[in-house]
Amino acid sequence: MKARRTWPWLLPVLVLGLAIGLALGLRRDPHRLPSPLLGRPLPPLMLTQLLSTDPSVRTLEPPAPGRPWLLNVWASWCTVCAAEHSTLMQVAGSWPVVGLNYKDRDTAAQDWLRRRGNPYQTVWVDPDGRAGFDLGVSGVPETFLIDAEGRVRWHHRGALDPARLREALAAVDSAAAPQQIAGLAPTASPAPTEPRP
Amino acid sequence: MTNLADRSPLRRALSGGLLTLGLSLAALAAAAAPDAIDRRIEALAQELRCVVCQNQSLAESDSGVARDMRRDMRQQMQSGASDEDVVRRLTARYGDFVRYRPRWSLGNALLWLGPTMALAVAMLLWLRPWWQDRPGKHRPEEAS
Repeated sequence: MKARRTWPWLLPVLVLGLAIGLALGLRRDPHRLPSPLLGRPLPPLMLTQLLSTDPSVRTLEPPAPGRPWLLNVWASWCTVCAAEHSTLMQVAGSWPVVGLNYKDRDTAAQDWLRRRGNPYQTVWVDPDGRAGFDLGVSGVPETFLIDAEGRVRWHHRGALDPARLREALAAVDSAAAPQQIAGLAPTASPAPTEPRP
Repeated sequence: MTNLADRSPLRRALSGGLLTLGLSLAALAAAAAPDAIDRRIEALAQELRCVVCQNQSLAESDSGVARDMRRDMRQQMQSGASDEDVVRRLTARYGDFVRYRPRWSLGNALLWLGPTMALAVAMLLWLRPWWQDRPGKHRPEEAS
């Protein structure tokens, strides 16, 4: 019996295609969520400042108009934040870093900065996590890179990975000198910690 | 009891209007009542993913971020937001990933249609002997 053998290859091809698709999909880390803020400006955040004598609630503004800057979400109870601290101190030499103190106590936060050093131009206080919620924060630390036009270009969850930070800064800050970016030394990059209840 | 039909059209209109108004207000109040909101939150939260504990739903998770999300849902509903408004607020901040059911879009079409398409192909392959070998079709090598 002669039958046109055109179909037998179809099933193996489909199975192979499915296997490849699944293999590629499984390589993606579900913890690296795409941030819906990318390409958009930060939402308005009405906060008080940690280290200011002015107790009034203000809107979080870019520290230097027309320059890219970093927004770092941190807390004194976050052990991983200590790991990225040296990277932040280095970055702060070339780019403004603004801190968002998340679900923390003022005194604890102030002590933490006093003991380790303060990389932040300004530290804004988010005691109940409302600002974090508006930013899509799911743990601490997290870092946002905002470009000169005020758009979020990078949202990193977990401790700063100097290699990734270098890439992001190079991509966003066309005016940056290569040695500014190359100067960021490598450190370990653990995963973010959950806030204490 | 007075028969409404005996009343003047104006009185009938007024009674009808007051009744409608009263029922509408009662319905609004019911939708905003605490237990109604709790039920809505519970129903919605079971359809949403906790972004921190990713194998738990938003209803099950006890993480701080999950509690923040549920708190936001409650506040929004208390101000009269619809279920879709509430979910859209969450996806605007945390991405579409929070929904367990992917929304229908061109990118997700393969996801939704894939299984059905695979089944259709399987059925075609399985039924091939029948629609290829219909009686009366010329079979050159039939035994004589």
